[in-house]
Amino acid sequence: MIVALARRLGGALLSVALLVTLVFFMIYATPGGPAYSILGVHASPNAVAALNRQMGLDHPVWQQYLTWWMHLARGDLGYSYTEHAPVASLIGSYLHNTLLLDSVVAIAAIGAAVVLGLAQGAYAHRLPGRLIGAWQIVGYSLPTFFVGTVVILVFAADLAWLPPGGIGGAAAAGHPLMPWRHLALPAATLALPLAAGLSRYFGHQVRDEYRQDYVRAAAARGLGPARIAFGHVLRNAARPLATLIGMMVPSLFVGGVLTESVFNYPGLGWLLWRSALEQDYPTLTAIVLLIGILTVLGNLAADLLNTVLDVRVRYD
Amino acid sequence: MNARGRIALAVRGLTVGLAREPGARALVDDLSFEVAEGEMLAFVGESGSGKSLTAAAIFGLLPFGVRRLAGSVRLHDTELTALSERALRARRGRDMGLVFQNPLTALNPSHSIQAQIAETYHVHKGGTRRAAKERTRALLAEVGLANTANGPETYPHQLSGGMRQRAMIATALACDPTLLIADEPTTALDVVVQAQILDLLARLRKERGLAVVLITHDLALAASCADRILVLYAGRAVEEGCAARFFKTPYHPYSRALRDALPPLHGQGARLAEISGLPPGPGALPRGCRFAPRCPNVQNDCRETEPAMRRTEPRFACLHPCLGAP
Amino acid sequence: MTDERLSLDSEGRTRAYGLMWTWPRMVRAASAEYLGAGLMLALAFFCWIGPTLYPHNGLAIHAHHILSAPDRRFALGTDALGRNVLARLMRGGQTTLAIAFWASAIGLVAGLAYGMAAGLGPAWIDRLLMRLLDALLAIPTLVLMIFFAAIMPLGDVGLATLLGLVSWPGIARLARNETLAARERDYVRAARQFGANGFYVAHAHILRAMLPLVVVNATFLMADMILGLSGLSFLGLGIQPPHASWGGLLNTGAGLAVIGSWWLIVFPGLAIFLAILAMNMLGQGMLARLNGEASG
Repeated sequence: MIVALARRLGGALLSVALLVTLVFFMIYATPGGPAYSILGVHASPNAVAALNRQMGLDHPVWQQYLTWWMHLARGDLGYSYTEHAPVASLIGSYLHNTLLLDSVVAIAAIGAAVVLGLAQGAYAHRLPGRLIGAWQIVGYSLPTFFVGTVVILVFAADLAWLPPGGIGGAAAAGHPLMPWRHLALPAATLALPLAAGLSRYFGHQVRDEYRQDYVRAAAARGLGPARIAFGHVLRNAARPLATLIGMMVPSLFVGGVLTESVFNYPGLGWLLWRSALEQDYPTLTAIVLLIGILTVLGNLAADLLNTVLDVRVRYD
Repeated sequence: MNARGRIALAVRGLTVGLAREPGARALVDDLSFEVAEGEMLAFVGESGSGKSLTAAAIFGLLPFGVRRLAGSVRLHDTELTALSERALRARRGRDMGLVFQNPLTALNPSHSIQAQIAETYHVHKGGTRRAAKERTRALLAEVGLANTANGPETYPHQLSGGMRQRAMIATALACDPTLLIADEPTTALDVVVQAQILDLLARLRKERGLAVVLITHDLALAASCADRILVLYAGRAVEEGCAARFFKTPYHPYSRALRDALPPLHGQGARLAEISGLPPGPGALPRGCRFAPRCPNVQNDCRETEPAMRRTEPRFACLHPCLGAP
Repeated sequence: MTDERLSLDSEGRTRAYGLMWTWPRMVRAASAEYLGAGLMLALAFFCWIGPTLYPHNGLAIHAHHILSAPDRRFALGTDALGRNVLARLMRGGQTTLAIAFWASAIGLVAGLAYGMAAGLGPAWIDRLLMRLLDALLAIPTLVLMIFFAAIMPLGDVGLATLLGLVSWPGIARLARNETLAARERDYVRAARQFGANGFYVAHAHILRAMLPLVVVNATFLMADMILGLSGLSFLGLGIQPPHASWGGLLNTGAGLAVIGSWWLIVFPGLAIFLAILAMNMLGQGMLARLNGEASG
């Protein structure tokens, strides 16, 4: 088991290293280069050359590549020319907001997926199962940015129940419900497609488990439906769910970019969007890298969770 | 036969069919039989003949879309078909146990053997964790898994096929049921282990006075260990009788064909007999006798009237039985 | 009898649901893949044949009809510049669907090539390519799209290429796994031992074996592309104004909807949703059929 863990950890580290390399070459291969985005498209070639020299962009590739690694190792992610702040410090607060939103979303989506998936699997051939199935395909076909705008229109503009976006600023400080009131709409918007996708997958898993002999055997031993569902089916069906939750991390970020933009929620996705519009390279690069690393970590966590849940892996 | 015990299970006129098309011909049609305490009855038939459906109907666990259309199932003094789902659930596992063909899939892979036995015991009898643990240990020892009984928690994948089937039997016996239905319990096992499991079933039957229904497609196996044999064809009982008599003089042409298809134990036999054609599917049952299209004794009336089961010994359902020398 | 499915319901409950069985059966008769294909055809008809039936210019500015609600003259209203929303929706649909289609085609070919190369090549190539794929998969597609769209301004062809080139890893993984599986099948091994050359085997056996699954995933890819392109345009990074696109319409409409012009977001949003729904239903339906189940 320790060997398996070490191998997974090694794999994850290798993935991160490849990721860093990949991102480096993505920037390196960019036509124009960062200097234009700082100085504007109409900058004189001389000014561009000077800036390139200043940023070390005239060195050979391998030297730039090494510098890139050294900067990363020191935690130096560059300097944002549009925000006028070091990227690393810039990202901190945005990351905090995103993690807050994403944890709320993840908990809501997983909770909904488990409840709906169990119901769908248990009533696979009947009305509840079919209704849930229809809801799922609609749920994950709905673009978050569309749902977001409609939700703002209805709940914030028309009904004025909840704030349309942001995180509240100074006026909200001190109010105990404020962060939650601001989280409600973006979280619901982002959770909808995730819950739909997750519950569909989980529902199929549950349905397959219900077809197993051990479920019939458990019923034949006189166990009730609730005991079978929660004591037997849930655990076996949840095993692949752990992998899926790990794979959910990218979807969280993708949905996050759009949702945060719609709601003007100052998270990582929103920052990515702003820096893309303003062509703020260092920030853009850092966020792409950060999201990649978080994804690798998410998959690693899912792997480890799998190992814990599966007795066959654990004991072999 | 003469020293027969109390009747444990009595099934009368059991008919099972599709819920959506109650008018269609049944998957199990008008089946009646009894099993006494300490007796083993073997159901013999090809796949699709309704053996497993009968077991499911007795337990009230028919698959979705399949329904018991008629008939009664009595376990001792209780009419099971009259019970509510909740009351029936309390009987499953407590008064009757079910053993499956493949113990690897019929045991939950992520629960230990011990936990699965203890759970059954706990659900029906309550009591302390300790009592359930004691009970589990005793049961495992009884089915011949002494090492597992005294050892740590064991998961199904850690056991061999035969040991798994022993564990499966232990889960079915957790609450000392009076009836055990074993659905192809040895089909997934190799021959040596098969014999061990059958020995175990025979021993349990004798020691506990257990009524056993053995479901199998293997006539030789049925003949070697059952007291009585009931042959099913396309959902209907075609012949029933004491195993020795049955093996010597089967009356129904299908039973005889089945017996003649067995290789002889001694000597160089002639070419084995075979039954031409395939059994009919539930959607394509012929008029009259269901075996008629494949029957060597077939006559015109066979295609018109469905023969009824004789009420007295020898019991068979055929208009033109094999009466000559075997 | 081993495939019997368990149902936890007693017979009584089965009976209670008996009546309700009629309508899901009707839905199943018109199963998901046909509904999806029909919906997609209807949308394509709307976008390409629609303009001939409804000849209005989506770029013409009607200064006296700014932000007018849907009425007899402008069936879906007008935008802040007084442009006809229905006409723009048709034009925008052409752009959106065409780019999404070509992007899927590019992604499909790239993914198939990469995946089959990994699956057919020696083990070390496979390991290398898969490791690279893992690293690439760690960055969500939309994030990659945003990154590249930000650093280079793109036209329609450029967008299709970009979308295609960032979206192939899923297909590549599928193709690689299917190739590995097909490679071990007896008929493929037999063909190789008879001396069939690698390209022939790859084409005649392996590609053909995985084609159904690939087609299914291509429809999901198309759904992803519609979503990605619309998302990108919604963020202001995809198709640039004054060119209409569904995501772009939603982007410009979002601010105005709050002050009452709901038609500016409802119709483009519905169009995007329906297009994605159509592809998802088509894919799900085909997948269910491949797996031998009734869809639903």
